[in-house]
Amino acid sequence: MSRARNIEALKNILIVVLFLTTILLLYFLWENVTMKTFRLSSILPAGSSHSLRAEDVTRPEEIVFSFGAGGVTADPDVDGRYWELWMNAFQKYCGRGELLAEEISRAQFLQLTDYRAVFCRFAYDLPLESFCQQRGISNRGLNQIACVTEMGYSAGSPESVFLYDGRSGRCYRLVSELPAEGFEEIIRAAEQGEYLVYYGAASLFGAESSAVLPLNYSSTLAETPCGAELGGADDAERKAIAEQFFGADFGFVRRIEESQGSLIYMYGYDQKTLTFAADGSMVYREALNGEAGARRDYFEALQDALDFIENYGGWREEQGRHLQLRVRDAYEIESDRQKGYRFVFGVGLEGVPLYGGDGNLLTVEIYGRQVTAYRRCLPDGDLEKWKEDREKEAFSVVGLLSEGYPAIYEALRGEAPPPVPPEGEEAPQEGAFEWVAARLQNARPGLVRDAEREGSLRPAWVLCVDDCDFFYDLYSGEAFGAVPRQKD
Amino acid sequence: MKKVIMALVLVLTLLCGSCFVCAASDPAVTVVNPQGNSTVYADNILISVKVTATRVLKITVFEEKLLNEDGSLSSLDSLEALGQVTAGSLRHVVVSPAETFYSNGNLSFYTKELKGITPGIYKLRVTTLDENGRTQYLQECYVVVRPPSEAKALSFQSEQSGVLSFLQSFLKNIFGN
Repeated sequence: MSRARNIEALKNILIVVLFLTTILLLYFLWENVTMKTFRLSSILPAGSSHSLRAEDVTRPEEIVFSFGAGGVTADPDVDGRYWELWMNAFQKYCGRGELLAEEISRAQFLQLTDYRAVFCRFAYDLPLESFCQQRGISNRGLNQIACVTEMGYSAGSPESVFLYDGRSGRCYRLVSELPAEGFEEIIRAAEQGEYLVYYGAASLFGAESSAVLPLNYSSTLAETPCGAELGGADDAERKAIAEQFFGADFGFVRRIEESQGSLIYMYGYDQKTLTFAADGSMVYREALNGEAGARRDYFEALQDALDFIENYGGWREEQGRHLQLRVRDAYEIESDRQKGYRFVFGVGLEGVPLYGGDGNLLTVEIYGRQVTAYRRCLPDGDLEKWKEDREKEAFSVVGLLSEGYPAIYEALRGEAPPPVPPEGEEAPQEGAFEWVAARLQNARPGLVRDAEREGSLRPAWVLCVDDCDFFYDLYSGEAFGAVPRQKD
Repeated sequence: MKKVIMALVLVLTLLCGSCFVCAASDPAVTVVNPQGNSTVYADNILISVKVTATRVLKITVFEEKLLNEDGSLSSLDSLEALGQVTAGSLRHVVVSPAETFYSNGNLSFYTKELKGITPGIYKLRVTTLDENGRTQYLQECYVVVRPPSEAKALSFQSEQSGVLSFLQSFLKNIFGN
């Protein structure tokens, strides 16, 4: 009797195992899902883990140190060490008490780096209230300041901390009840290491700009072949990605192949579209619906954008690529009376910024909780040979600006620069060069994808002027493109 | 009396003009840095000269020193002190030997960093040469270098009492800007 029961139990177990095997086989064979495209992240519910955190991608683009005797340097702060030291000191300085903020002139603000100083410079305007809230800092007394683009300390006024709001163009001095401690230690830590001397654009060109530039620069950066992340994806892989985006609606999705090599998946009449372009980029667009909800706090929206990136395409740092993700630009957007944010992400390779060449690498537009646009064009391929063993002297960045300013002026103003007055005649107070120099935000070496060289990453000087990146070959100085930061 | 008047004239010339010009200055050449008669608290100097036409320039930096009675040289610490030195006891010690700079374009910059500079008075001389290599224009700028430790803290014009500043901040918070 008991033997018969055992046989029945064994049969039941066998039935369950066969049932589960059938489901798994159906999943792999019917849906044609290959093991290559199978990702754990794709079957995990959205937002179950945050390997990309809003706090980690909110970092300054560079930290400028002044050692007080004419020595200035700019550090990309690859490991975020100085930024964390700064935040610790800033949090202690703000404390829980009242802060007083008074406006100072831009000229006074620029004078601060004549002394021992440290300045954290963001590439965009960070909403101050959200930032304080996220970092647990009291912003009482700071309500008049909307954004922070630069924050710093200077021994020229050792009891204060300084902020620059790039959106309004206003500079502020903060005074706390507590002493400004810990800032001098950050300067000392940077001073002890090796650094390259930079000079301010104010000293080099007489321009009212806080950009700092090296007079002489050597680099090991080398041109390296590089495809786009999805450049080699076959139809099955693209379909698997599209299924992730459209989910249950995938049965109603149209597939359109364009003659130029693009593949479009479309749901409804432009309700949702996913485009795989011939250049290896992927663009997802979704019509704004009424369910997006009210605009969320900046950092909540940023975290949602990061979760979206993780869930739709993933982030390769986990695959050992060591690419760092940072916010490069963030601004408010509005459509159909709904407000949201557009985030442009920058990617760094051991602190060397990568640029798309003809567009941004990663952008997300978000209204409430709804992502309405997502563009992804990350580099792929073997990036191990992007450095040479020996350093080479780079083209003078001062020379670049003095030779390239007419083209920059024309690109930004949409008109040719005014002719230089003949010898003997007085030059205008602000000529084309002065106009460009005053708007110079920074000049950094980076790796830029050059479409004309089969998408290889080319070592370049990247001059950011008036929120537009201009690319020049790092060693020859040849101009090879420009991209406004707000472009897709 | 003559000496006093001469000294006064020299001091006034140094203080009032942004650059001390021996000959007519070249309209196509501007010394951007250091600014004439400025004081820097540093141990290095950045030289930046803007050139807006085709030129051949010769650029030299000297330190102005006083020849003492015992034959030794000593540094000067102010433009006033420089004004009181007679021509016979003033020595121009070359800090950066003459460099020739060719400007072929519409706009170019001569830049140079001088490191390890000691406190004193320095003179930047920019000479424009004609096609025969003769001096066409001459421009000279003085800069006073002081030890970095002597730099004075910045003063902000709107230094106010704590109460006044608090009230201003309080009102701004209520009514905005």
